[in-house]
Amino acid sequence: MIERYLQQLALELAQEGVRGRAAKRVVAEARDHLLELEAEHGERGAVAHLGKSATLARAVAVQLATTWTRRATYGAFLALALTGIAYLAVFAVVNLGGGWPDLFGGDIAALGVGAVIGATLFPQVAFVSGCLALLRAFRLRAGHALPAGELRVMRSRAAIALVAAALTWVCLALFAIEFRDAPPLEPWVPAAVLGLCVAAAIALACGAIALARSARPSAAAGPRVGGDVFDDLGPIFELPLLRGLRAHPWRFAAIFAGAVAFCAFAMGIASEGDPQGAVLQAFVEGLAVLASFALLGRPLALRR
Amino acid sequence: MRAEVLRGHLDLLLLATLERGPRHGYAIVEAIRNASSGAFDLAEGTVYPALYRLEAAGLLSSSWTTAAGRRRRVYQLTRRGRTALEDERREWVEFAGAVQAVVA
Repeated sequence: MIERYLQQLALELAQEGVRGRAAKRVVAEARDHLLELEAEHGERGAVAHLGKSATLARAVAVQLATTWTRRATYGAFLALALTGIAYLAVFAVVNLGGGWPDLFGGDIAALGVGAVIGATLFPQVAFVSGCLALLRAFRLRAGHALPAGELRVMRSRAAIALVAAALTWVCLALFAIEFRDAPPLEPWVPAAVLGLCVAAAIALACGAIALARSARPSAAAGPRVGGDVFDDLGPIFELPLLRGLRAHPWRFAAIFAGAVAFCAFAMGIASEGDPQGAVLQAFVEGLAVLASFALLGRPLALRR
Repeated sequence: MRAEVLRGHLDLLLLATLERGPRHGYAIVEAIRNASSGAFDLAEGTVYPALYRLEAAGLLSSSWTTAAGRRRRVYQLTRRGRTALEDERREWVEFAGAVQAVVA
Protein backbone atom coordinates (compact mmCIF):
# COMPACT_ATOMS: atom_id res chain seq x y z
CA MET A 1 0.00 0.00 0.00
CA ILE A 2 2.86 2.34 0.83
CA GLU A 3 4.56 1.63 -2.50
CA ARG A 4 1.26 2.29 -4.34
CA TYR A 5 0.88 5.57 -2.46
CA LEU A 6 4.42 6.61 -3.39
CA GLN A 7 3.88 5.73 -7.05
CA GLN A 8 0.67 7.74 -7.03
CA LEU A 9 2.49 10.64 -5.35
CA ALA A 10 5.23 10.57 -8.03
CA LEU A 11 2.57 10.58 -10.73
CA GLU A 12 0.64 13.45 -9.17
CA LEU A 13 3.81 15.46 -8.63
CA ALA A 14 4.58 15.05 -12.34
CA GLN A 15 1.04 16.16 -13.22
CA GLU A 16 1.53 19.24 -11.04
CA GLY A 17 4.79 20.02 -12.89
CA VAL A 18 7.20 18.87 -10.16
CA ARG A 19 9.76 16.57 -11.76
CA GLY A 20 13.39 15.51 -11.46
CA ARG A 21 15.35 16.08 -8.27
CA ALA A 22 12.57 18.02 -6.54
CA ALA A 23 10.07 15.18 -7.07
CA LYS A 24 12.58 12.52 -5.97
CA ARG A 25 13.19 14.42 -2.77
CA VAL A 26 9.47 14.66 -1.92
CA VAL A 27 8.94 10.95 -2.61
CA ALA A 28 12.02 9.96 -0.55
CA GLU A 29 10.85 12.06 2.40
CA ALA A 30 7.32 10.67 2.12
CA ARG A 31 8.72 7.11 2.04
CA ASP A 32 10.75 7.72 5.21
CA HIS A 33 7.77 9.32 6.91
CA LEU A 34 5.40 6.48 5.96
CA LEU A 35 7.80 3.78 7.12
CA GLU A 36 8.15 5.55 10.49
CA LEU A 37 4.35 5.75 10.77
CA GLU A 38 3.89 2.15 9.68
CA ALA A 39 5.54 0.77 12.83
CA GLU A 40 2.89 2.44 14.96
CA HIS A 41 -0.20 2.58 12.76
CA GLY A 42 0.21 -0.11 10.11
CA GLU A 43 0.30 0.63 6.36
CA ARG A 44 -3.28 1.87 6.08
CA GLY A 45 -2.94 4.10 9.16
CA ALA A 46 0.39 5.47 7.90
CA VAL A 47 -1.13 6.52 4.58
CA ALA A 48 -4.13 8.07 6.34
CA HIS A 49 -1.85 10.09 8.63
CA LEU A 50 0.22 11.56 5.81
CA GLY A 51 -2.91 12.61 3.93
CA LYS A 52 -3.99 12.33 0.29
CA SER A 53 -1.12 12.14 -2.17
CA ALA A 54 -2.92 14.61 -4.46
CA THR A 55 -3.15 17.18 -1.65
CA LEU A 56 0.54 16.80 -0.80
CA ALA A 57 1.58 17.03 -4.48
CA ARG A 58 -0.56 20.15 -4.97
CA ALA A 59 0.80 21.84 -1.84
CA VAL A 60 4.40 21.14 -2.88
CA ALA A 61 3.76 22.43 -6.42
CA VAL A 62 2.14 25.66 -5.17
CA GLN A 63 5.06 26.20 -2.83
CA LEU A 64 7.71 25.56 -5.49
CA ALA A 65 5.92 27.69 -8.11
CA THR A 66 6.16 30.72 -5.83
CA THR A 67 9.70 30.08 -4.60
CA TRP A 68 11.14 29.25 -8.02
CA THR A 69 9.42 32.13 -9.83
CA ARG A 70 10.56 34.68 -7.27
CA ARG A 71 14.10 33.28 -7.32
CA ALA A 72 14.17 33.13 -11.14
CA THR A 73 13.04 36.77 -11.27
CA TYR A 74 15.88 37.83 -8.99
CA GLY A 75 18.20 35.64 -11.08
CA ALA A 76 17.01 37.25 -14.31
CA PHE A 77 17.66 40.69 -12.85
CA LEU A 78 21.16 39.61 -11.81
CA ALA A 79 21.80 38.36 -15.36
CA LEU A 80 20.56 41.71 -16.70
CA ALA A 81 22.82 43.59 -14.30
CA LEU A 82 25.83 41.55 -15.43
CA THR A 83 25.03 42.14 -19.09
CA GLY A 84 24.53 45.82 -18.25
CA ILE A 85 28.12 45.92 -17.06
CA ALA A 86 29.21 44.12 -20.24
CA TYR A 87 27.20 46.70 -22.25
CA LEU A 88 29.14 49.53 -20.64
CA ALA A 89 32.33 47.58 -21.34
CA VAL A 90 31.44 47.63 -25.07
CA PHE A 91 31.45 51.44 -24.96
CA ALA A 92 34.80 51.41 -23.15
CA VAL A 93 36.25 48.94 -25.68
CA VAL A 94 35.08 51.00 -28.68
CA ASN A 95 36.39 54.24 -27.19
CA LEU A 96 39.72 52.60 -26.35
CA GLY A 97 39.91 51.00 -29.76
CA GLY A 98 39.76 54.13 -31.89
CA GLY A 99 36.21 55.45 -31.33
CA TRP A 100 32.85 55.11 -33.09
CA PRO A 101 32.86 54.60 -36.86
CA ASP A 102 30.61 56.42 -39.30
CA LEU A 103 27.22 54.73 -38.87
CA PHE A 104 26.73 54.57 -42.65
CA GLY A 105 30.24 53.27 -43.21
CA GLY A 106 29.56 49.53 -42.83
CA ASP A 107 29.19 46.94 -45.58
CA ILE A 108 25.39 47.25 -45.60
CA ALA A 109 24.41 50.73 -44.39
CA ALA A 110 20.86 49.78 -43.27
CA LEU A 111 22.17 46.87 -41.22
CA GLY A 112 24.69 49.06 -39.41
CA VAL A 113 22.16 51.78 -38.64
CA GLY A 114 19.57 49.19 -37.55
CA ALA A 115 22.10 47.52 -35.26
CA VAL A 116 22.97 50.82 -33.59
CA ILE A 117 19.30 51.81 -33.15
CA GLY A 118 18.50 48.36 -31.74
CA ALA A 119 21.47 48.50 -29.39
CA THR A 120 20.11 51.84 -28.12
CA LEU A 121 16.41 51.00 -27.76
CA PHE A 122 16.38 47.35 -26.63
CA PRO A 123 18.46 48.00 -23.48
CA GLN A 124 15.83 50.52 -22.38
CA VAL A 125 13.06 47.92 -22.77
CA ALA A 126 15.23 45.39 -20.90
CA PHE A 127 15.93 47.85 -18.11
CA VAL A 128 12.30 48.90 -17.61
CA SER A 129 10.95 45.32 -17.85
CA GLY A 130 13.64 44.02 -15.51
CA CYS A 131 12.91 46.74 -12.95
CA LEU A 132 9.17 46.02 -13.17
CA ALA A 133 9.80 42.28 -12.64
CA LEU A 134 12.04 43.02 -9.66
CA LEU A 135 9.48 45.43 -8.26
CA ARG A 136 6.73 42.79 -8.43
CA ALA A 137 8.97 40.11 -6.84
CA PHE A 138 9.98 42.51 -4.07
CA ARG A 139 6.43 43.69 -3.43
CA LEU A 140 5.22 40.10 -3.08
CA ARG A 141 8.33 38.85 -1.28
CA ALA A 142 6.37 37.74 1.82
CA GLY A 143 3.70 35.77 -0.10
CA HIS A 144 3.83 32.03 0.57
CA ALA A 145 1.58 30.73 -2.19
CA LEU A 146 1.11 33.43 -4.81
CA PRO A 147 -1.72 33.00 -7.33
CA ALA A 148 -0.94 31.99 -10.89
CA GLY A 149 -1.86 35.44 -12.27
CA GLU A 150 0.76 37.24 -10.17
CA LEU A 151 3.46 34.69 -10.97
CA ARG A 152 2.63 34.95 -14.67
CA VAL A 153 3.15 38.72 -14.58
CA MET A 154 6.49 38.28 -12.80
CA ARG A 155 7.69 35.72 -15.36
CA SER A 156 6.33 37.67 -18.31
CA ARG A 157 8.17 40.84 -17.26
CA ALA A 158 11.41 38.94 -16.62
CA ALA A 159 11.09 37.08 -19.94
CA ILE A 160 10.54 40.32 -21.91
CA ALA A 161 13.56 41.82 -20.16
CA LEU A 162 15.73 38.82 -21.08
CA VAL A 163 14.51 38.81 -24.71
CA ALA A 164 15.14 42.56 -25.04
CA ALA A 165 18.61 42.10 -23.56
CA ALA A 166 19.29 39.21 -25.97
CA LEU A 167 18.20 41.39 -28.92
CA THR A 168 20.56 44.10 -27.66
CA TRP A 169 23.44 41.65 -27.89
CA VAL A 170 22.35 40.44 -31.32
CA CYS A 171 22.50 44.08 -32.44
CA LEU A 172 25.94 44.51 -30.86
CA ALA A 173 27.18 41.34 -32.56
CA LEU A 174 25.85 42.70 -35.89
CA PHE A 175 27.61 45.97 -35.14
CA ALA A 176 30.90 44.12 -34.54
CA ILE A 177 30.56 42.16 -37.79
CA GLU A 178 29.29 45.08 -39.87
CA PHE A 179 32.02 47.51 -38.79
CA ARG A 180 34.89 45.00 -38.48
CA ASP A 181 36.97 46.80 -41.13
CA ALA A 182 35.55 50.30 -40.65
CA PRO A 183 37.96 53.03 -39.54
CA PRO A 184 38.80 54.29 -36.97
CA LEU A 185 38.11 50.98 -35.18
CA GLU A 186 41.24 49.00 -34.43
CA PRO A 187 41.17 45.37 -35.67
CA TRP A 188 40.92 43.82 -32.16
CA VAL A 189 37.72 45.73 -31.25
CA PRO A 190 35.16 43.51 -33.14
CA ALA A 191 36.66 40.37 -31.56
CA ALA A 192 36.47 41.94 -28.09
CA VAL A 193 32.83 42.99 -28.66
CA LEU A 194 31.96 39.48 -29.88
CA GLY A 195 33.64 38.04 -26.77
CA LEU A 196 31.43 40.24 -24.60
CA CYS A 197 28.42 39.07 -26.64
CA VAL A 198 29.24 35.44 -25.82
CA ALA A 199 29.66 36.23 -22.10
CA ALA A 200 26.33 38.09 -22.07
CA ALA A 201 24.61 35.25 -23.94
CA ILE A 202 25.76 32.77 -21.27
CA ALA A 203 24.42 34.96 -18.44
CA LEU A 204 21.09 35.50 -20.23
CA ALA A 205 20.74 31.79 -21.05
CA CYS A 206 21.20 30.92 -17.35
CA GLY A 207 18.47 33.43 -16.45
CA ALA A 208 16.16 32.07 -19.18
CA ILE A 209 16.61 28.43 -18.11
CA ALA A 210 15.75 29.25 -14.48
CA LEU A 211 12.73 31.23 -15.63
CA ALA A 212 11.46 28.40 -17.87
CA ARG A 213 11.91 25.91 -15.00
CA SER A 214 9.93 28.13 -12.64
CA ALA A 215 6.90 27.99 -14.96
CA ARG A 216 6.52 24.20 -14.61
CA PRO A 217 4.90 23.72 -11.15
CA SER A 218 1.19 24.55 -10.91
CA ALA A 219 0.60 27.73 -8.95
CA ALA A 220 -2.17 28.44 -6.46
CA ALA A 221 -5.59 29.15 -7.86
CA GLY A 222 -6.64 32.78 -7.82
CA PRO A 223 -7.50 35.63 -10.16
CA ARG A 224 -6.34 34.84 -13.70
CA VAL A 225 -5.00 38.36 -14.15
CA GLY A 226 -2.36 39.70 -11.77
CA GLY A 227 -2.21 43.28 -10.54
CA ASP A 228 -0.90 46.06 -12.79
CA VAL A 229 1.81 48.69 -12.43
CA PHE A 230 -0.60 50.84 -10.41
CA ASP A 231 -0.65 48.10 -7.77
CA ASP A 232 3.15 47.89 -7.82
CA LEU A 233 3.55 51.63 -7.32
CA GLY A 234 0.49 51.94 -5.10
CA PRO A 235 1.52 54.79 -2.75
CA ILE A 236 2.74 56.97 -5.66
CA PHE A 237 -0.64 56.77 -7.38
CA GLU A 238 -2.37 57.82 -4.17
CA LEU A 239 -0.85 61.32 -4.52
CA PRO A 240 -3.51 63.92 -5.44
CA LEU A 241 -2.04 64.78 -8.87
CA LEU A 242 -1.58 61.16 -9.92
CA ARG A 243 -4.69 59.60 -8.40
CA GLY A 244 -6.76 59.84 -11.59
CA LEU A 245 -4.17 58.09 -13.76
CA ARG A 246 -5.19 54.63 -12.63
CA ALA A 247 -8.40 54.86 -14.63
CA HIS A 248 -6.53 56.28 -17.64
CA PRO A 249 -3.39 54.21 -18.30
CA TRP A 250 -2.82 55.86 -21.70
CA ARG A 251 -2.71 59.25 -20.01
CA PHE A 252 -0.05 57.80 -17.72
CA ALA A 253 1.85 56.51 -20.78
CA ALA A 254 1.69 59.95 -22.44
CA ILE A 255 3.04 61.68 -19.32
CA PHE A 256 5.82 59.13 -19.01
CA ALA A 257 6.69 59.44 -22.71
CA GLY A 258 6.78 63.23 -22.30
CA ALA A 259 9.16 62.95 -19.35
CA VAL A 260 11.45 60.57 -21.24
CA ALA A 261 11.39 62.86 -24.30
CA PHE A 262 12.29 65.87 -22.12
CA CYS A 263 15.21 63.95 -20.56
CA ALA A 264 16.41 62.86 -24.01
CA PHE A 265 16.19 66.48 -25.24
CA ALA A 266 18.14 67.79 -22.21
CA MET A 267 20.81 65.10 -22.61
CA GLY A 268 21.04 65.79 -26.35
CA ILE A 269 21.58 69.51 -25.72
CA ALA A 270 24.11 68.83 -22.95
CA SER A 271 26.18 66.34 -24.96
CA GLU A 272 25.91 67.58 -28.56
CA GLY A 273 24.71 71.19 -28.20
CA ASP A 274 22.58 70.67 -31.33
CA PRO A 275 18.90 71.62 -30.74
CA GLN A 276 17.71 69.99 -34.00
CA GLY A 277 19.37 66.69 -33.17
CA ALA A 278 18.09 66.87 -29.58
CA VAL A 279 14.50 67.39 -30.77
CA LEU A 280 14.79 64.40 -33.11
CA GLN A 281 16.22 62.27 -30.29
CA ALA A 282 13.42 63.37 -27.93
CA PHE A 283 10.80 62.59 -30.56
CA VAL A 284 12.21 59.09 -31.22
CA GLU A 285 12.49 58.29 -27.50
CA GLY A 286 8.95 59.52 -26.73
CA LEU A 287 7.55 57.60 -29.67
CA ALA A 288 9.44 54.46 -28.59
CA VAL A 289 7.86 54.70 -25.12
CA LEU A 290 4.35 54.96 -26.60
CA ALA A 291 5.02 52.13 -29.07
CA SER A 292 6.36 49.94 -26.26
CA PHE A 293 3.30 50.74 -24.15
CA ALA A 294 1.02 49.73 -27.03
CA LEU A 295 2.96 46.56 -27.79
CA LEU A 296 4.03 45.42 -24.33
CA GLY A 297 1.51 47.16 -22.09
CA ARG A 298 -0.50 44.03 -21.33
CA PRO A 299 2.32 41.45 -21.04
CA LEU A 300 4.19 43.85 -18.76
CA ALA A 301 0.98 44.50 -16.80
CA LEU A 302 1.27 48.25 -17.38
CA ARG A 303 -2.44 48.13 -18.09
CA ARG A 304 -5.11 45.49 -17.68
CA MET B 1 -7.56 22.36 17.46
CA ARG B 2 -8.85 23.55 14.08
CA ALA B 3 -6.36 23.12 11.22
CA GLU B 4 -6.70 26.73 10.02
CA VAL B 5 -5.83 28.07 13.49
CA LEU B 6 -2.72 25.90 13.51
CA ARG B 7 -1.71 26.80 9.95
CA GLY B 8 -1.20 30.46 10.83
CA HIS B 9 1.41 29.51 13.42
CA LEU B 10 3.05 26.59 11.65
CA ASP B 11 6.30 28.45 10.89
CA LEU B 12 6.76 29.41 14.54
CA LEU B 13 6.07 25.85 15.67
CA LEU B 14 8.54 24.39 13.17
CA LEU B 15 11.29 26.88 13.97
CA ALA B 16 10.81 26.45 17.73
CA THR B 17 10.92 22.65 17.38
CA LEU B 18 14.14 22.76 15.40
CA GLU B 19 15.71 25.11 17.94
CA ARG B 20 16.14 22.03 20.15
CA GLY B 21 18.25 20.30 17.52
CA PRO B 22 18.21 18.89 13.96
CA ARG B 23 15.29 16.59 13.13
CA HIS B 24 13.70 14.88 10.13
CA GLY B 25 10.07 15.46 9.09
CA TYR B 26 8.49 12.67 11.12
CA ALA B 27 10.46 13.59 14.26
CA ILE B 28 9.36 17.23 13.89
CA VAL B 29 5.68 16.22 13.75
CA GLU B 30 6.15 13.92 16.76
CA ALA B 31 7.95 16.63 18.73
CA ILE B 32 5.15 19.13 18.11
CA ARG B 33 2.49 16.59 19.04
CA ASN B 34 4.30 15.57 22.24
CA ALA B 35 5.16 19.12 23.33
CA SER B 36 1.51 20.14 22.93
CA SER B 37 0.27 16.97 24.67
CA GLY B 38 -1.53 16.00 21.49
CA ALA B 39 -3.34 19.32 21.03
CA PHE B 40 -1.42 20.05 17.81
CA ASP B 41 -2.12 16.97 15.74
CA LEU B 42 -0.86 18.19 12.36
CA ALA B 43 -2.03 16.91 9.01
CA GLU B 44 1.42 15.48 8.48
CA GLY B 45 1.64 16.13 4.74
CA THR B 46 1.36 19.88 5.36
CA VAL B 47 4.69 19.95 7.16
CA TYR B 48 6.84 19.28 4.11
CA PRO B 49 5.77 22.22 1.91
CA ALA B 50 6.28 24.49 4.95
CA LEU B 51 9.75 23.03 5.51
CA TYR B 52 10.64 23.60 1.82
CA ARG B 53 9.45 27.20 2.07
CA LEU B 54 11.43 27.90 5.22
CA GLU B 55 14.49 26.33 3.65
CA ALA B 56 14.09 28.42 0.50
CA ALA B 57 13.84 31.50 2.72
CA GLY B 58 17.18 30.57 4.29
CA LEU B 59 15.70 29.93 7.74
CA LEU B 60 16.48 26.19 7.63
CA SER B 61 19.13 24.05 6.04
CA SER B 62 18.85 20.35 5.33
CA SER B 63 20.97 17.39 4.36
CA TRP B 64 20.55 13.69 3.61
CA THR B 65 21.58 11.14 6.18
CA THR B 66 21.06 7.39 6.35
CA ALA B 67 19.24 5.81 9.28
CA ALA B 68 18.26 2.12 9.49
CA GLY B 69 19.20 1.75 5.82
CA ARG B 70 16.81 4.54 4.78
CA ARG B 71 17.63 7.92 3.27
CA ARG B 72 16.41 10.64 5.54
CA ARG B 73 16.36 14.43 5.14
CA VAL B 74 17.35 16.19 8.35
CA TYR B 75 16.52 19.85 8.91
CA GLN B 76 18.25 22.35 11.15
CA LEU B 77 17.91 25.99 12.04
CA THR B 78 20.27 28.46 10.35
CA ARG B 79 21.52 31.64 11.97
CA ARG B 80 18.85 33.58 10.04
CA GLY B 81 16.28 31.09 11.26
CA ARG B 82 17.32 31.66 14.85
CA THR B 83 16.89 35.42 14.44
CA ALA B 84 13.50 34.92 12.75
CA LEU B 85 12.44 32.63 15.58
CA GLU B 86 13.35 35.24 18.18
CA ASP B 87 11.32 37.87 16.30
CA GLU B 88 8.32 35.56 15.83
CA ARG B 89 8.46 34.45 19.43
CA ARG B 90 8.48 38.05 20.68
CA GLU B 91 5.52 38.89 18.43
CA TRP B 92 3.65 35.83 19.63
CA VAL B 93 4.19 36.66 23.32
CA GLU B 94 2.90 40.21 22.73
CA PHE B 95 -0.07 38.94 20.72
CA ALA B 96 -0.96 36.18 23.19
CA GLY B 97 -0.69 38.62 26.11
CA ALA B 98 -2.98 41.10 24.38
CA VAL B 99 -5.57 38.41 23.52
CA GLN B 100 -5.42 37.10 27.07
CA ALA B 101 -6.00 40.60 28.44
CA VAL B 102 -9.11 41.01 26.30
CA VAL B 103 -10.52 37.52 26.62
CA ALA B 104 -9.83 36.75 30.29
